[in-house]
Amino acid sequence: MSRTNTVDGLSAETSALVIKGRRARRVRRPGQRSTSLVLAPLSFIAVAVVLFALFFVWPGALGLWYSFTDYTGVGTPDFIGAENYVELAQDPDFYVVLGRTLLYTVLSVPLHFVAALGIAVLLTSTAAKGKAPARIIFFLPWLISPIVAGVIWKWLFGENFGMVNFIIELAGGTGLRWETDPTLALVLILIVSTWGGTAFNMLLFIAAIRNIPRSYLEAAQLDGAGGWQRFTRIVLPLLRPTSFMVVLLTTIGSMKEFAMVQALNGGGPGTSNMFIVQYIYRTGFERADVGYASAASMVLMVILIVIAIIQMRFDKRNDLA
Amino acid sequence: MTRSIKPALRLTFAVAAVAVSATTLAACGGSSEAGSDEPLQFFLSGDANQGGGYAHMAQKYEEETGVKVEIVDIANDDLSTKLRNAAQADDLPAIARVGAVDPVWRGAASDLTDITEGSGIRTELSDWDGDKVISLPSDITAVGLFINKTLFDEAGVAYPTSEDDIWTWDEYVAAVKEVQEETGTSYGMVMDKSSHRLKSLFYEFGSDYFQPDDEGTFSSNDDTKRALEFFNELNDDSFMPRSVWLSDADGNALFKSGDVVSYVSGSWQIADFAVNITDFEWASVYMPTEKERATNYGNAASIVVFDGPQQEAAYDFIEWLYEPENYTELSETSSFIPAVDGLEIEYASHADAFDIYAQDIAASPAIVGDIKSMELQYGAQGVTTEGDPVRDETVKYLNGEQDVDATIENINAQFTDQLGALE
Amino acid sequence: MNAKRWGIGSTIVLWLLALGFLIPVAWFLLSSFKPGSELFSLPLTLFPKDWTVSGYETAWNRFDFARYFLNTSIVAVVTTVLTVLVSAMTGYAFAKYHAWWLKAFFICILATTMLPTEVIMPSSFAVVRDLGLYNSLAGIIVPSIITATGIFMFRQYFKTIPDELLEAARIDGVGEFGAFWRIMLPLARPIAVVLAIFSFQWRWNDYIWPLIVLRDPSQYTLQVALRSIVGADNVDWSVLLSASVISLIPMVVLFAIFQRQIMNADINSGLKD
Repeated sequence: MSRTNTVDGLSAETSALVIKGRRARRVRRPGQRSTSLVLAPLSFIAVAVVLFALFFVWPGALGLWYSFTDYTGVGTPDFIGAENYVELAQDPDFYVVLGRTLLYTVLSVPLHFVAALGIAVLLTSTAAKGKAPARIIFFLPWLISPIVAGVIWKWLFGENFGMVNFIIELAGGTGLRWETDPTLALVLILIVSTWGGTAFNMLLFIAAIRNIPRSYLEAAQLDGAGGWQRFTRIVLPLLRPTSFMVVLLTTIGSMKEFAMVQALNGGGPGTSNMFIVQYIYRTGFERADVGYASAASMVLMVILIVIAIIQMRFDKRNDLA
Repeated sequence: MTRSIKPALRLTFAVAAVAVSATTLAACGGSSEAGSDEPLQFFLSGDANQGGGYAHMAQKYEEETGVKVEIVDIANDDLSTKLRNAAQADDLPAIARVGAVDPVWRGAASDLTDITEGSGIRTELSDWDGDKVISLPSDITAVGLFINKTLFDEAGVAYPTSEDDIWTWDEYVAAVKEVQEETGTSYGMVMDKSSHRLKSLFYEFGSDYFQPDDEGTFSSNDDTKRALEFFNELNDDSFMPRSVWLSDADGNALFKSGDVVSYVSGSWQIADFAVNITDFEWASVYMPTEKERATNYGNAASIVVFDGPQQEAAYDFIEWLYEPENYTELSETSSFIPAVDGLEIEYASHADAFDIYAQDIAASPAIVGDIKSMELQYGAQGVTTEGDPVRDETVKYLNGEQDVDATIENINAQFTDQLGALE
Repeated sequence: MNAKRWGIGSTIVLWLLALGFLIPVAWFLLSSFKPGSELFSLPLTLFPKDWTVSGYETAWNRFDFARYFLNTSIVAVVTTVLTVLVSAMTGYAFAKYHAWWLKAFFICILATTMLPTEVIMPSSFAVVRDLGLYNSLAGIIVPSIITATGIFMFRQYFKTIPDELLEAARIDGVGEFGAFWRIMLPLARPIAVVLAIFSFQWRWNDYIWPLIVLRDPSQYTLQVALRSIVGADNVDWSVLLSASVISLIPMVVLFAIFQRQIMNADINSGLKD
């Protein structure tokens, strides 16, 4: 049971404010940070730190070491300095692949964002009917493994024997070259990744939207704000932390896209839609050049860290919390 | 204040304790090392898909001797990783059927030379360590041609039915194009996206594939270039669909749909087609010839016995398996082409198809066996590659990303880089 | 009037989208009831001409689904509980406390998503083996507890909870840990449920860790067993489809049950306005 401290005959509320002010001033004095404010966060992150050290730092450090050697996965690695990195920098294919991956990411992030947010809004609105079964339908694609997803979409969009081309031809048109035209193949990759990835972002948005106090929206409605205004002026700003997370996670995920593209068209046609992780596989692991693969992975990680920091800067400037 | 920390801290510790005990409990779920009374674990891939021959033989062995062999069917892509990890954790199974011998556990493979003595086992397809045989070929597979017989009959076009009648590539293409026109079929031919199938085209054109000189620099002959150019012409999206080689479209599915006249794949499809093609009649036909009659054949996989507490029991099982009577039964159950000479296999169905394969194999030139031996020798040197430079460079060529000379140059460069000289 | 038009409009849009999402899934489901010979024959049909459950029979008999469900469930449940707890604690620390080392560690956590798992695989195996976790379910559970996504989720969520709540708790003398366990964590129930669903699904479909760590087939998880359908040169599509459908069912059931938790959590973040 809590006791309310009162100050000098002031009311409980005022006392609370006074005490709060005093504490704030106390905390702000440099070097006077109360130990609980250091001990507490430290103990909260303790388990994560240990696991991080064991399962990320340790293998990561090994990977970093390999990147400076000619390790083939077997036997003992020999130190070769920055040779792998030099080779990587001089490989024109690397830049082409990187560019393609960036293009895909720049296209997929807005697409995923809008799709997930739009569907989340629909699913949390009071207006639409039949939300519960719809929710399950949107969730299903996320459950399907990449191999099976690749097969399904190959059957649907197969250039020669796919359902979609079949219907187009029935309607009198000519089937589109979903597999042998690089741009159409990329479009297909975007469609499939949106289909599979929406559920994840959608659920994040739903939880965040439900977290917005209904009273805010009701008050705005009483003030005469229309649906769109309520959305842009209240909901969106309050969704900012979640939006930032969705954008960052989708960016990282798209840059690392591999399994689905493999299953769908193997990075084709030819190598025109090869993304960076597939490049790492092809030039590194498949040629038993673990050193080179590790170097390329380190470069990828650095690029992603830079992207993450840039996005965090944007988020900080707009931080409302 | 201290009063309210305690219950909260206690809760934190309680949770941590539960977590630790849960994980320890789960850890105890790990099994102990394979002792000599435990069943022999046999790692392989795809047995169930291929008629379950090994499972059947394991059962028979148990009935005869009481020794249990446990078939562990693993995804093909994962098998080598699993074995490699097992080797590094000192936990190898008793037996494995592998695509290639891995330098990581090569040293743990037992000596099987005694099994091969006096038997008809084709030891040129074994892995060797000096004089020791360390693996036995499991069965032979070969590249072969399938046609949609219904379409051929409908168009009234003939195809070779005896060895005196073998068609050349030009004759074959012309025949298929005629069938295509007469029946209005979408495509004439489809070939799996793999250098394994492409090799037979190379050999038929007289190519000597890619071979190293004494210093380890790889090169090829002019016929390779001719073969590649020919293949590129075929891939014009009206004879062959470009989507298969360029984008991983499933050639197998395309042929089964009935809208492709012919299919270059291999002997393992026979069992699958027997069950899964019901809309039309299919047939196996001789591979076309150009300079040579050839097919790419080789051992589908290698059987390895690992050293360890179960080595003797495992060795006995494999010895039993390769006895003519048992090996015949295995081949009949799984529809294998035997890797043991001198056996009469009675196939459950489509025996005529298997005959054609046998004839194509027998007629193949020495180069086929030579290249296979070369690959095995590189394995013995501890050089393995998982990639497929021939396939990948050919794909780039077909996609117009580079010309044929650059393709051959790249392939040679990659082989030189990854394989080096033969010792 | 306006509300009604909104209602019909949004319902139509919602169901058009749902249809788009549904068709490939429907194809998948219906194809699992087709016999192998029908899967590829032209002209393509959505509905099977010849309904059959032979794929399901083969799949059910070939795989010991009961055992794999059990193995995978143990891993999924234990990991999920631990994951949610660890992610909540860590995300909370990032959200509500300020120190340079917290920010640095946050970036470190984010960095864990930036190396593709396939890349750290060989080294990760060495770690698992050296820790003595090889061939045990703990070997899959422990490395999977830490997830940058989960931690990130809780961080963002806790950031939306006003600091005044924490201040009020501090003033009330509840203490840092008390504030977390008694006030903050219960408030985060919706996001905890979302993470639990995600985590369960990740472990359910996980095959990389089980592939590296597990040796004994009786310990195999579902995905590892399913992948074995993809053979060297042939894939038995009808078995693969049927087995995939079977493996989906538990997740769908779980989601159907727990989605209410997310939808009905009508929190107003504890502020009295």
